[in-house]
Amino acid sequence: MRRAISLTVLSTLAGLAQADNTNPFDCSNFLTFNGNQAQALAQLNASKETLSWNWFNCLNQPAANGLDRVWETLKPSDQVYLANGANPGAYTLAPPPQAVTQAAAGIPGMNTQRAFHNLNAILQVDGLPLEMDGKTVPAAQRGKPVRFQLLMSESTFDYIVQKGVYNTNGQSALTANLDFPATSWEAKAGWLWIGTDTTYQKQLEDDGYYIAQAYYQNDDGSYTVGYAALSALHVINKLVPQWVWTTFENVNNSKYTVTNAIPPKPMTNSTGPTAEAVPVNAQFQQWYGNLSRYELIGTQIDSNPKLLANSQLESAFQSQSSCSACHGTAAYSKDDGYFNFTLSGQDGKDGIVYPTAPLPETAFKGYNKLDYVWSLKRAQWQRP
Amino acid sequence: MSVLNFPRIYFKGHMFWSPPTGNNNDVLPLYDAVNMKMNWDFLSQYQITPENAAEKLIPWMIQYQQLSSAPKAVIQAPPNAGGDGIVPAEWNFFGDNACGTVSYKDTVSTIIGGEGPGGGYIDNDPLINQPYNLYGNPFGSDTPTPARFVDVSPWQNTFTALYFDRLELGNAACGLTATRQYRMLDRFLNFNWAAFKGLLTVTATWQTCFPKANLQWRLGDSVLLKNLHDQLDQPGVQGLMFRFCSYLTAYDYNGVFNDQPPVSASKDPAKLQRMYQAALDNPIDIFFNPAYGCTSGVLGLWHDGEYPTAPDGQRLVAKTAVAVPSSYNQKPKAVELGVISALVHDNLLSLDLMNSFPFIQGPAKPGIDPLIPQPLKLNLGAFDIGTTQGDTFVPLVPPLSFDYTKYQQDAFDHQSGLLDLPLTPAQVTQLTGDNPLALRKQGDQLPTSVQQPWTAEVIESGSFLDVGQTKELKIMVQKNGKPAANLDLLVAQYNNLYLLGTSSYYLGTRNNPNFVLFYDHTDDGSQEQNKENLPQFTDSAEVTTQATEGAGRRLVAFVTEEPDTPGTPVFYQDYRKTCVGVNVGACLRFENREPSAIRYLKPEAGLKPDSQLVEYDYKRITTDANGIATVTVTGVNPGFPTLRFYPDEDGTADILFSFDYLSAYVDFLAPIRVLPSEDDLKQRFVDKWNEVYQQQDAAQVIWDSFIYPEIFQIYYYLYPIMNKYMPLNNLKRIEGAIGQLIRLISKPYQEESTLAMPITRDMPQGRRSVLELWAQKLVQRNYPPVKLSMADYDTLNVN
Repeated sequence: MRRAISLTVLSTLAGLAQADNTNPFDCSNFLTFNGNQAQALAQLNASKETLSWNWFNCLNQPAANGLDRVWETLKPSDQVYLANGANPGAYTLAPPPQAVTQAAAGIPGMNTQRAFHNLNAILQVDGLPLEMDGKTVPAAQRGKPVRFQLLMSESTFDYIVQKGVYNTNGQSALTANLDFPATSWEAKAGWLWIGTDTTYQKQLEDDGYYIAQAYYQNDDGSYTVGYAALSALHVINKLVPQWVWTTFENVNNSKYTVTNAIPPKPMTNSTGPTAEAVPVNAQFQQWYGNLSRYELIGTQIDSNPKLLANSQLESAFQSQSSCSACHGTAAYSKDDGYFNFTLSGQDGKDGIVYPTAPLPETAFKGYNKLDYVWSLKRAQWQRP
Repeated sequence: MSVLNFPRIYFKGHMFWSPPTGNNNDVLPLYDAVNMKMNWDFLSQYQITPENAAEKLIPWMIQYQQLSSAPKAVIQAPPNAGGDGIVPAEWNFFGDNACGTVSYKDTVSTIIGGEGPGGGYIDNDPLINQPYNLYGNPFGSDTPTPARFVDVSPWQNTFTALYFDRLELGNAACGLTATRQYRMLDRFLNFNWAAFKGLLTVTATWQTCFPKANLQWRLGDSVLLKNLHDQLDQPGVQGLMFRFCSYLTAYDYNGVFNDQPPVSASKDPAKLQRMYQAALDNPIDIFFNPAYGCTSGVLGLWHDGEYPTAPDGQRLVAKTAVAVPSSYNQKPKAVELGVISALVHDNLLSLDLMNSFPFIQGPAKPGIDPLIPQPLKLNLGAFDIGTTQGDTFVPLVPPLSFDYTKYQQDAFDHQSGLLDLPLTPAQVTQLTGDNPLALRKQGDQLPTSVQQPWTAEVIESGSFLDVGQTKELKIMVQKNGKPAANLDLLVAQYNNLYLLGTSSYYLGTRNNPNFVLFYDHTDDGSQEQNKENLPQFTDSAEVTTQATEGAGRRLVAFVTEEPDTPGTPVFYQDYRKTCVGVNVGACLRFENREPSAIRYLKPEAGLKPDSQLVEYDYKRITTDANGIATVTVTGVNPGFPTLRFYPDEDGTADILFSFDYLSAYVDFLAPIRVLPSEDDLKQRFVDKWNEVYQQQDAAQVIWDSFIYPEIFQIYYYLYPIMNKYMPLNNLKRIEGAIGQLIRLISKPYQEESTLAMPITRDMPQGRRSVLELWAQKLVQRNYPPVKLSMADYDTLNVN
């Protein structure tokens, strides 16, 4: 019966996420845990994977404007950490650059009232890009990087503004560790660039990718505007002091993205879906047809499981990827800048190693810790 | 002792070698590696200048260039004798210095057998048919990275260092992980055999040793492993020794040994150019075109007093050439054997023939891809074992000999080039007496190979020094295979005088002497007759030289016809001023050196005697009770000095002014690279930042005006493999990997890591210091609007 209802709903509301009658989770104020953090903690302890999926589903509900999804209305980091280091002002989303909307006007199907995602990053934290390639990738996109963006909730934003750490001046002036409120959220999205290739767009839609409007700025200052397909989404919040780390990706990513080997091989995920995530994926994918090609890779709390990676966001270093351990090194020193989580081992003999367990506090002497929020690294100096 | 002793494990397979070839052109001197700059003097011939290089250099590098279009000094250089054109970026522009064993389709590199503690071939063991490989340091992943090999000098093909993290045998249940203690340096690279078919017919020997503490055993049910493991507790055993040879090295085998796109760099340079361009346009199309060759190896015990990085014990070197049967239809009609290491043990004479008997490419083997080259040892006849008394060969009694069946290819493969000959007690007595060991081809009068009384090996050979940096080198010396205590050695330094090709050695001097560098036949149309001149001191013996077509890796033949004319002498001091010449001046200072020596070269027409006065430094050192001596050197000028050690038992050792690289494979040499200091770079960088630090675009300005042009640009030109991972002309990409960059450019990584940036190790300390300051104090801090000072260099977190 459940299956029948879901399919019926799907057929009538294709393309939109919706609460299924069979899932009692309340999405109305989920970003603040409906004012009941204890209840959220209980849900987390009962099944962190189920709660992760519920959050993912809620984030993919229609936003108040009726055009975008909830997570698309989170504040993107480029509107928080301004290039000139100035105070970012209010949480309200800024419109895209005029050049973007002008270009969008000439692209079939684009709606200038909808969100335009600024996909302003192409490097993962190991300094490497993830390249697109595969039999089904058009020539124009072969070798081009998967693009990323970082977004934050109002609670996260408010704390950053309140502490004055939206620029490096503020971070340099810190005299104590940061401590974000429990209702802080961040999301990091990975995107396959489509541009205006409608055939490719249709193909990605058929493979279950969510398609959005996007742009990025080129080295010469110009903008490229087009469509992009959501390949991955990290979602984190501070329900627990070490934060909750969840990550989702499209099950077809290996058709479109490749390793950095020469010649490249299809990119796959070596860390999940975890055994706990597998049945939850099956259930939620059945419930929510518009998310049915996304899967939860896993949910990490306090280094459990030890490794967790998204093939689109931690591609080459999955076997040394621990969200909490790596983000646990987020720290700034007035003299030395951001903590270098690229560990060297002894005398250069151990190569490049990333932390998969929390580093001892002694490693952070002279640093103020940034409470796992590495997005603060995007801050700039406000120059005199 | 050594791997010649029992027990042993044998290996057989193929190896790949993937160097970046943009920096080591054998023909065209586009890179002045002495000063670590593009060779603008040479490139100006092609209208390429620092100002237009961004647009013109790489397009020129990937396009075939005729040698005839090069400056005259390039055409007439003896290493280019007989050469034609070349693609300046050569055959593997995107190479990453990787090397290792090959396992691809039917090509496997595996453990093939071994010997028990008392001998006896073991061909049934769980370890057999399991893979083995050399791996590099981990790069943020459990995926193994490759070992890397680096030519100490980009042009000289003589010395290559092999950096690795570990040797892996077998699998998780049955195997061994041996962590590196000593990196390797190729030994006994005998280019004389290149006369058969270039590098294809040359062999190199490699060796490293692992202390007991560096071994992680997974014995499983393997008797082969258990045999070695159980012997480690025997007195005098330090650990394990791994020795292997590499040979039959061939090019353009994409699609045969790998799944890279096929291309023939030599036969289809136009296609190569198109593929290079496509890869430059889109890194997804980057490809490798490695060299491939055969390998055989052996793992055995490492005993006290044994050289870790070169075969020790009794060493036989060639005395006379043996005839090459005409049935082979080869250009060389006679050939000298390579090096043979020997050991008497367990009533056996064990010979290391890995690099001893020449070979050619043989016919295809049934059931094996016919495109895969097959080695074929030449049948040079049977050989008697004996000793020498004076110059006389004395056969053993009863006679001991071996014939072709013992060194033909299958026998070679079966025992990885080792040969064990049973001895009678009488033979043992003769071979362990005072007379040197020798080998003689049956039917010949003179010995074919005789025991070299001295051997000497520097453990830290192949080091990279900065100008001003001091390094202590330890040299282990043996006489007749035993540590030579209280022996004097003279140490002198030599340079190669061409910015291209493999060439001979000239004494590093304090003054600026003149001499005939070579005789030129370019004007009479027989440039292939150009050969190096090897002047000697008035009181030294003459040294003969041989004209060759090509040199080193590109040597294809010896020129046997005498020139019609003596040729035009080309003097060093004139040639030094060309775009090919290298300074003969000393690059190293010996600490506590002897008073400098002053000697004259033998008179040569056209030169005033005074100009042939040579003043040079040398050092006398003495071995301790263990046969180990120490020499301390400090870099004083950039370049590629090679130390040569002369045993001086009776005070008559003579430091030569020059010697031929073709015979140097059995000399006692230690190559070093001295990197330029560029000390002013540090102050200039600080000054530049302090000009711009308040600008909103300070990050981009300091990149555009200093960091890229002064440091990254040359690496961007020479190592385009980085376009795949960290394009060196892209500030954003480098900033995004700044944490990794800080680690990889550090000095300890240069010494220790397969991941060092650049992998070729050519990063002068001045550039490293500036990069570290930029990375740590500016990029890591998001370019703070504060001034820098020279004192900031002292507060870097160097790791």
